Amino acid sequence: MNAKEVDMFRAYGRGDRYRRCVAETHKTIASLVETEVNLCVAVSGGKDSSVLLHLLLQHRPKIKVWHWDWGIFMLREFEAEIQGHLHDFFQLRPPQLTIKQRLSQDEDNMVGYRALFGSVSQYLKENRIGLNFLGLRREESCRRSNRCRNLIEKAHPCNNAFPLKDWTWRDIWAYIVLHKIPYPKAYDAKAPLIGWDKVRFVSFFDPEFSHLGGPEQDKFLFWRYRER
Amino acid sequence: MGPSFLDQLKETIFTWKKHQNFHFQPLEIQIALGSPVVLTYPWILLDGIMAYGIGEMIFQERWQSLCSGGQVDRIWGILPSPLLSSEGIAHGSVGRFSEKEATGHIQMTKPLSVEYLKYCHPFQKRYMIVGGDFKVHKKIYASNMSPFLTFWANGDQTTIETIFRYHTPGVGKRIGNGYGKITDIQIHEIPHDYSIWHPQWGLNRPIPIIFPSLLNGHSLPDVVGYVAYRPPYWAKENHTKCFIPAGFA
Repeated sequence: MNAKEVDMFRAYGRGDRYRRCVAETHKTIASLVETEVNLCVAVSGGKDSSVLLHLLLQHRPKIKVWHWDWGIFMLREFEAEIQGHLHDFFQLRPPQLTIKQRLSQDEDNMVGYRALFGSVSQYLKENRIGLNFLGLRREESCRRSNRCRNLIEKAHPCNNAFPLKDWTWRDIWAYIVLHKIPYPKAYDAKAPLIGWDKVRFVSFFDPEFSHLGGPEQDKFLFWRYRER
Repeated sequence: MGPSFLDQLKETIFTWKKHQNFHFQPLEIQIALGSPVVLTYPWILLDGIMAYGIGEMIFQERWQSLCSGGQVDRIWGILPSPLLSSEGIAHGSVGRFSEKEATGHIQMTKPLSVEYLKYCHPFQKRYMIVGGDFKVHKKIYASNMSPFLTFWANGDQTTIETIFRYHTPGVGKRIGNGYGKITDIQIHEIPHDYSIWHPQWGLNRPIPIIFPSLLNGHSLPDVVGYVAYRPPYWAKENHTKCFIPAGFA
């Protein structure tokens, strides 16, 4: 992020819209934290989950955190960077749920997702989690907009909460800039091409995410990692 | 039993080769672009364009079907090149855009879903939509919107000009959609060969690290990566540890 963009997000952070958004989210989180004892938060390492984690740690410093690793489809350098942020900035060592069974990006998507949700479900059951916080936002896609219509989604084995559902990309980046939260450097590489509003942190060279840039863009930006 | 299909292809190439007399000289090739260039790799290499153009010159309309059939994989190595070659490395540089910062993205969608869905059974229709069969047709590519692209080469001026004028409608990806359109080409003779090393840019094309002699005594570049060094640049067999051209690291 260059100096001009930092100034832009700082200026946005001084506005009423942003302040109201953050204040309301603090209030929401406070009420959820009061009602439920056993909480956890899912952290992918991207911008939304980092902001959510930062907000939640202010209310419940010992909240359980889990992080999933995309295995061979997340470049190890970027995974190490995320781990570094969690260790150094947030002072956390969350359990890593790793996808091992996703063998091919083209064909085995469902196998991979079953493996992911299976391991997540097992983790939530074993730890008897009452409420799982997710950093989904309504702005991101129609499907997410439908899913995050309510603050709490009833699910098995535990309910999910979406405190950031009404945040916009400007709110997220303003929060990151104002609180100096570290974010993956992949954002800095992708954003000049597709813009700070559309940039997403997903697995690399993955045809599943071709509508977000995907392999075509990664071949250009991350050509170094293409043949590894 | 007659000659195999591959032998026939080889024969066609050798027959064409016999009638050619390449005259190599240092050149600067400036291309005027009419639309943004779509990139799925940081650089465009001149010898890649030349190899494709030569293939089209030799096989004409058969070339497209050869490419799609996978037969062409075996003949890339014996295709003649209008560029001088040292240690198997062609004297053709990477393309330098006039404005490096003019990078953006283009978004493309394929409008096939509605036409196709009309004839589907409702259950199949639902299955395909929910399964995400149609979302993959949206793609985002990196692109460069510079008005000019410059190459340096040591090669045959006439053949290079013929290839650019008559056998290359555009450069980069998605040429069929109108991207990377070539509107004009100017080729100048220059006194020195800048295809491998340029005084302003430094290293001007990927070179395998086992051939440092190609640098002609210039200092070894710092940046090294696994990239292709000869056409076809998409083939993994051609990837090796190379010095990377300056400005792309």
